[in-house]
Amino acid sequence: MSTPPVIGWSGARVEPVTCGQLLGQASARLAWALTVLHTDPVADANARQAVQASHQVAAATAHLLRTVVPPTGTPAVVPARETAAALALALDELTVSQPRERPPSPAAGSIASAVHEAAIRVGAAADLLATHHDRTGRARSPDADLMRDPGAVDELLHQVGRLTEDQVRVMRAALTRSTGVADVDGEDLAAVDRLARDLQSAAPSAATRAGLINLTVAHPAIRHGDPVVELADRVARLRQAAWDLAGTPRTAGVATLTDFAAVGLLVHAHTAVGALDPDSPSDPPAVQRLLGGVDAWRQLRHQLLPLRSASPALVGVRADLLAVRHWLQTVAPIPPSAGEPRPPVDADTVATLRACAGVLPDIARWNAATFANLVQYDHVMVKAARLPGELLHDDPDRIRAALTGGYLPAPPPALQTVSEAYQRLTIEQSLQNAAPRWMAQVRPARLRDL
Amino acid sequence: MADWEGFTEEVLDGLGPGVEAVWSLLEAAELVVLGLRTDSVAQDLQLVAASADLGEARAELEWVHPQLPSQCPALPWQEHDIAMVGDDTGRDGAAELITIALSVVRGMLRDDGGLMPLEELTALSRAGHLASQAYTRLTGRLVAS
Repeated sequence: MSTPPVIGWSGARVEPVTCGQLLGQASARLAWALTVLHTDPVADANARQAVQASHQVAAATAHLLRTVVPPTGTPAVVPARETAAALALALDELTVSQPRERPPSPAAGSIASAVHEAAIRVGAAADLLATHHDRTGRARSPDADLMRDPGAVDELLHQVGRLTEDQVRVMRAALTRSTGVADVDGEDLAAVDRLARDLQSAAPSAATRAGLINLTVAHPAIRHGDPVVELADRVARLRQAAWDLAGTPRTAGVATLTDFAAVGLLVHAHTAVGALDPDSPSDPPAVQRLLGGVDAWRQLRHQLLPLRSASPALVGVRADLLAVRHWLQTVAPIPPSAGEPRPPVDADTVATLRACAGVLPDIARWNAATFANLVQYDHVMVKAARLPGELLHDDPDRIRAALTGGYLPAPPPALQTVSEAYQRLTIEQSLQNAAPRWMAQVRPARLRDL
Repeated sequence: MADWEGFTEEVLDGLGPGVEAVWSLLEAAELVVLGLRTDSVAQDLQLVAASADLGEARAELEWVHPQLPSQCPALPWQEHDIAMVGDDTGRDGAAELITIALSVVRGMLRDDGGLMPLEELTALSRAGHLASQAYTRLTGRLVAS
């Protein structure tokens, strides 16, 4: 049986589990149970409990299927949707005869306990996916949209189909070995088996796709203790914040957008520090691209700085910005003066920094939406004093504002340069970086296999 | 050529008292630094770090005085931005703005007669430290005391 994930010497190093990992762990436990059922001569005593536990897996699987393909509200774009719904019903049929009360917990290390653990993990996978929506069905994370992506849903359904087939095998083996009256209808079991196979052919698996399988829980906690890990977590949280703010108009003002621009600037600059080879005079294209990112984000911050809006800087974003800067200075420092040598940065850190830079186009895209909304409601202001006369439009109020040190809505050229800067960052950067889209991959490689 | 004299003049004219002046001067200096470019990557990264130091220095002041950004006048917006002033003028200008900010900080710390609340004292000295770090990154020299 596969062991639970190793908790390393520091809690900071434990990865947030992904949906795919939970299902993988469930498969591993079922496989172990199946092997023991086939080979262990003393399995009989345990087999009856294993049948009970495999009903729990079936119930959890039905729950997972309904989370991925809700009975209502999902557009019929997923070809495997019908099969998935039918499989959920068939699993219900299978478990309907089971007593409602919770069976006693199986003894640790037994077959039943392995199957029971598989049920817990399948249920956890459903819960993990459910964290991406609130109770009204509104998205809580930028990745919630994946549940509407046919390819991503197919990939997960394929895996669930395979898992269900494993369950059927375990249940059959346990029934064969168990003594006493079998309370499982063979036809129901056959129906589940058939639909599980149908689901796998209806939902082709795309191994290269980074979809629902790689999803972690929405809003994971910041892990402290390892600078690189904390840095990636903070950047992930800033991505989430940028998305949240784009969906809640006029919560964030220009001050917060300026803070986001500083994040973009610093992440690119320190990644360039890490990627620069101190011994080679010419910079490879990858470094050139990072320096291009430095320049683009710097221009954006430069253009945002003279603009004002009523909302103060949001404390959460500001705190993450300062923490990100602190850890960037720790793991890939810019020396205190240009003449001093740059300390080498290890490859794993550079990889994490690059992945962090890879999420910045997302931030730019959502910040652009936030900015556009502020502009739409005339929330973006400049000091009127030095505006050229023609921008005062012979309007007495405007002229008064100019004379008394007041503010006026920012003139179109100021707004346009900012909008264009956002557009460039969104398009060019996402083409250049070609970085992983999902934060599950924004982790140091050395931690991925823990 | 952008109106560099006009820019500094307006920044200096609009300065509020005490910590407001420090905040405004650091913001103006950051704007200038963000507009500078050099051919050397190492120098350019120093400019980025200097701008981040200046931004962080303002953030230190804002923890104690959250109303600073709304109290202090916004920087003058100009259609032809002051990035056009040229590196040397810009670098010297930013260093000059930082020097003035530091002299205000020094004056506040000297004249307070032991009455300044501790959090204000630490915020000012943290901001002062970050601003002098930015000065060193810009000029390669320590701030003259």
